[in-house]
Amino acid sequence: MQNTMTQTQAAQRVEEHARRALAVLPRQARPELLIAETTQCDDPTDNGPLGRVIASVEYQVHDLPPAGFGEDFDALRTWWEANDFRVLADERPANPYLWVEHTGDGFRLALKANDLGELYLTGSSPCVWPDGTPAPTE
Amino acid sequence: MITVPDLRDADPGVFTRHAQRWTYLAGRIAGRGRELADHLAALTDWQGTAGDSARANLAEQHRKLTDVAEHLGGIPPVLTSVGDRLTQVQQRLHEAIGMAEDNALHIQPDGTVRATDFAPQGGDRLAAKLTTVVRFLLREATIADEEAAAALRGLTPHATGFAPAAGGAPGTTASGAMPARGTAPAEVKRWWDSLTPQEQEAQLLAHPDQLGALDGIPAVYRDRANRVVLDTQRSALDTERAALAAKPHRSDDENHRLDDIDGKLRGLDAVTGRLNVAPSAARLQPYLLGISTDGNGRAIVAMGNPDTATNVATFVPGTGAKLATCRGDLERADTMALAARKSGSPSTSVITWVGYDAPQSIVPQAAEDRFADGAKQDLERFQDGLRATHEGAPSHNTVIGHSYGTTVVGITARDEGLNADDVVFVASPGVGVENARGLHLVGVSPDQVGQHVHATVAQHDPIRVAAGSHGPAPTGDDFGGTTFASNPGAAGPWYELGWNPSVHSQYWDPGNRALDNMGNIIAGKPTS
Repeated sequence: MQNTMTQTQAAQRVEEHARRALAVLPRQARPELLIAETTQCDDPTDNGPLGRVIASVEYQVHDLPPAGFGEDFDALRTWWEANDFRVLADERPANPYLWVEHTGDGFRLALKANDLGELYLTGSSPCVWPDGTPAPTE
Repeated sequence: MITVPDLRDADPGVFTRHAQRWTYLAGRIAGRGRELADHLAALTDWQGTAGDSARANLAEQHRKLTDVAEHLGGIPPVLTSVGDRLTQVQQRLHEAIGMAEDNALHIQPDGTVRATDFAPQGGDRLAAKLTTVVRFLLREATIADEEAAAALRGLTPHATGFAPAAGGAPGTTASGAMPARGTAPAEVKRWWDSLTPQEQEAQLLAHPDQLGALDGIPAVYRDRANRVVLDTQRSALDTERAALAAKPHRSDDENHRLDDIDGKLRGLDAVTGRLNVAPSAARLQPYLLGISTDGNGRAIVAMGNPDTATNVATFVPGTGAKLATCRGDLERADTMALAARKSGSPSTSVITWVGYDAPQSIVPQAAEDRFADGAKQDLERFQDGLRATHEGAPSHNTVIGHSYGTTVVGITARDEGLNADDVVFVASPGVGVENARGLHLVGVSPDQVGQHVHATVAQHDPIRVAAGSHGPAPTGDDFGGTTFASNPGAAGPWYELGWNPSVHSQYWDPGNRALDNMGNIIAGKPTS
């Protein structure tokens, strides 16, 4: 098992990724932070390595007109592709969901809209050890 | 008359603990009275006869609840007082017993003290003095007991408003009126609706354990009952744990029980912790719909009110699910509720249903149907209960199974019929049928069921190897359901043939397409 960045570093990095993405959106965009947390990225029944966590953030983006969501998706996709992200899924128009991964650090971001006129940005880290090193095994 | 062994072995702390419970209950009833007062205030604009009648009825119920709370509030001081008095008297008795033992005197149950053959000179005189002291202490204890009993008799049942109503109407403490567990939820709901608010409060007070387990009781009340049950069960486990931990030598069985208790206490901590989280957009108001420490334990917790939400989902976890490890399953309910919101659900409730004895091992238990067979009637009735208590237009209900939980959901739908609009199978080892047409969803015609059956499995999830142990994988082309995408996950090493056990648990990771799709299904939207 390999060393990783720490939980604190992952939380900082995911916030940085999200902030850069939010800056691409029109100026009137008003992001509301819904969640900034770390969660277990495994469970005790899967025989996988225990103890790793995922740092994630969840923003709801207010004050953007739904009629312009298509352009917002396009703008972010273009920016992400020009900044070392690869597209994992772009399910428009059936499902307004765009999901990307940074080719360097493996962090992922997703943009999601719905028919209530709401827009959300999610960011998540890869699984990391809380202290950066694997938990000691018995 | 209290005897020496009675007083010596008594646990006066029990009075203090019961006083705390009565204080809590009186507070809850007072709170209910305040809620009614708020409702009354909101009705001031309702003009006409019906409005007058409603206000008069509510005002009367408010008055009764206030009276009940006031009289119940009289119980804790009595209990605390008798507890304090008995503690002091018991302490003095222990001192007397110590003195008797030091001087080879024998204390009889009625308080008489006699010198033994080994008593020092003057033992008879000391015995006579001690007899006077011990009998005085026994009288003190008896008086405290009798005074407390008289005071409590003065508080109940008439003074507390819990006496049977005049004219032979059903009494508020008539437990016989409560439907038995297993009664059809619609019938339970009719019974509940037939009670006055005061009678409902009395049932909550007297029978929280039975009421909390009844499908068909509205979530708001079930939650209140189960929070009392949770406190009671925690207290019982704490007491048992303290007794076991204090033993200088424990058997293997006792050590095993101690581990079991520690695990369940962790589970109760997880539930309590979630109940205490302030509601927010990302953490909906929780409702405790079931809790038990029996067997592997039960934890049924709704994130969001299922009786008022537009979209309601029930999550059935799989192998390894139990009270002790429910924390992750609670988090998944929160995760799915947020995913549904992002998919456009105007209001959502996602319920973690650790409501069955799940297999606790992959081999051999997870290969057996018996755990699903044991769960199917409870899951069916739970889903019926959600329908029975829902307010307004019927909600869009989804049941989501993970791993062995998909087998539970499938076998329930096959054998009992499932009151749900959609079912979701995540990482399934088979759902007990060869084809989606073998699943029965209430209100969905058999030829349409396939459109309401959704399944996914990640590319590198080793559950693919287990598919077939409970029937063909529901993601198969021949199954007749709808498949949706999930993150493929990282491939495992070559010596694992590329399978990666971690992938089996990644469907709820932030950003995973499976999570987005589950949000879509819960919200009643198409998947991809």
